[in-house]
Amino acid sequence: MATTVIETRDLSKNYGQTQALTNLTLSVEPGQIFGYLGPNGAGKTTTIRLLLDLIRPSSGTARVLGQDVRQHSVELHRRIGFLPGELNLWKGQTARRIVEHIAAVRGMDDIHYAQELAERLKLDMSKRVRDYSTGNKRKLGLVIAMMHRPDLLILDEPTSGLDPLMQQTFNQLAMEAKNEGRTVFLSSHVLSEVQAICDKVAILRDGDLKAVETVERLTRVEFRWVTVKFRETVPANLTQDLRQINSVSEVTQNGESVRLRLAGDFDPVLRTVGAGYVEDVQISTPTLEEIFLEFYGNGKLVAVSKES
Amino acid sequence: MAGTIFFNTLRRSWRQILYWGGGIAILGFVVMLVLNDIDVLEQYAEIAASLPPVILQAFGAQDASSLATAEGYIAFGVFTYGAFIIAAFGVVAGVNITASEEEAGILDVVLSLPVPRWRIIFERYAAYAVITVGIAALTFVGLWIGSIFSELKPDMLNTLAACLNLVPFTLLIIAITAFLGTVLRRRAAVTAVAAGVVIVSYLIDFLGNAASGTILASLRPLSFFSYYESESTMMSGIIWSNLLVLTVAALALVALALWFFDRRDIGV
Repeated sequence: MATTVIETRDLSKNYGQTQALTNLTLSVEPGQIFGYLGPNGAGKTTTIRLLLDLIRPSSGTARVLGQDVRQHSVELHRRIGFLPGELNLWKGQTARRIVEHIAAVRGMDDIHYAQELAERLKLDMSKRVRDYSTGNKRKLGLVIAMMHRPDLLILDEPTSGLDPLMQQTFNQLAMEAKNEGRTVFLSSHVLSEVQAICDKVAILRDGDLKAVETVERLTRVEFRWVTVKFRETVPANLTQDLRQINSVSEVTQNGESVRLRLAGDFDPVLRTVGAGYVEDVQISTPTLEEIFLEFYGNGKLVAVSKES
Repeated sequence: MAGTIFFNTLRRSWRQILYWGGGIAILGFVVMLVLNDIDVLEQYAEIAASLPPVILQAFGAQDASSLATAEGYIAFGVFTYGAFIIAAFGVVAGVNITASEEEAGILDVVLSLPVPRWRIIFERYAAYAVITVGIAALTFVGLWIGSIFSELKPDMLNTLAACLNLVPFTLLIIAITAFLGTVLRRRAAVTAVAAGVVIVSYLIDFLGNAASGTILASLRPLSFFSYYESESTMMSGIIWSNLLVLTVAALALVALALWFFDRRDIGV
């Protein structure tokens, strides 16, 4: 049986009175793209820094690739590629020089794969870091993280600052890593990013792991936000009539627009809207926070199971 | 791979040999040309003798008569000021061992590589030790060129010894600052405290020397300036006991920095 790639047991981290992470028990299996989701300040970066032994836990244990992160950090770092959430490098040096230095530290003989990655990400490695845009710095970070084909990629907000085309390229690179049997652990606060490539997702909030679920199940939230804009006035009693529909809730009127939350078929809504001249209809999927609330309601677990 | 951090630090920082070493070398060259006649030096020493001894002691000269010699004059004019210049380099270098990169967030990338934390400090410290030797060597070159153009002909072996005497002194300041970097983390705080340590150390040595029999005099062994003794070194060569004390203290502080750095969280 393959070794669990990431395994934490009751992992906690306090900064004085502040609890950054509370009793995190999590496992990530090999060959997965695992999304680590949560709003800013949820504890995602704290978890990543604990896994890399950059910070030490207040309690609990963390094992990566079957080894204790504290005792075997150097061996593990050979097999891990890391992209920090905020990448800072030596500003006066060119990307090529930095890549060569990191390759030397890693004991790599050549940087052909790094050059290939840079080409795919359209990164000019002859420039100094100080001349790079945020997106280009991110690309360099991805090259550094992936250049040694690590068994585990730990990526903190990997697509932040990348344009949509490069996000696609990143998705391809992550899928290639997965197809080669390697594991990708990526943090994000953007659901769509996670939806595109992740097999499984953990949701973190205020330092607490709230859920671990497959992406398919997580996003199977059956409601949408519907905004109907009328050309002139909203038909009389429309909001009251809409509220009578079982699958409709949170109906609000704003000028010529009516916004509602629909958790069922469209037909009853269309029939109710009836006589009014509809100028536009906008349908939006729920945000991560809304999915979150859908799952937890008033703080109670509704739709997903917390891994124990 | 062993040595990569060392060579990368050297490659990124070797120009400091030119900046700092060049600065002290130019100072040495100029000092040798300003008063380049032994008769002028004797007049200079006579004027200095009329000054209160405390003023000479403040600049590292034990008595005015030594200023009448080329060696005493160079110790006074080059190595006293040179100590402060190289102390500034020591603080800058010490800050660059961990504090600068930790504050900038670069250390996260560095420590995600297969390198134990101790190697970061050890190899960078070793690289700055080489750079310090380079600065001392460039200082010697400045004085040697100055001696070609000057009437002053100091003992070049002792001059070389005085240049090398800068090395253990600087290595200790780098070690103090590196240790402070592992404790305080923030660049500005580390720089301020390290500069404070240098100034306090100098004051203890100077005031303790000037006021014998006081508590400051008994504290002098704690001041690393008291082991610098550039004038004695210029007169009679390396003082091995001083070199040993400074080197052992520096290595002890590096060991403490390694220990401390290995046991704490990396800041962001």
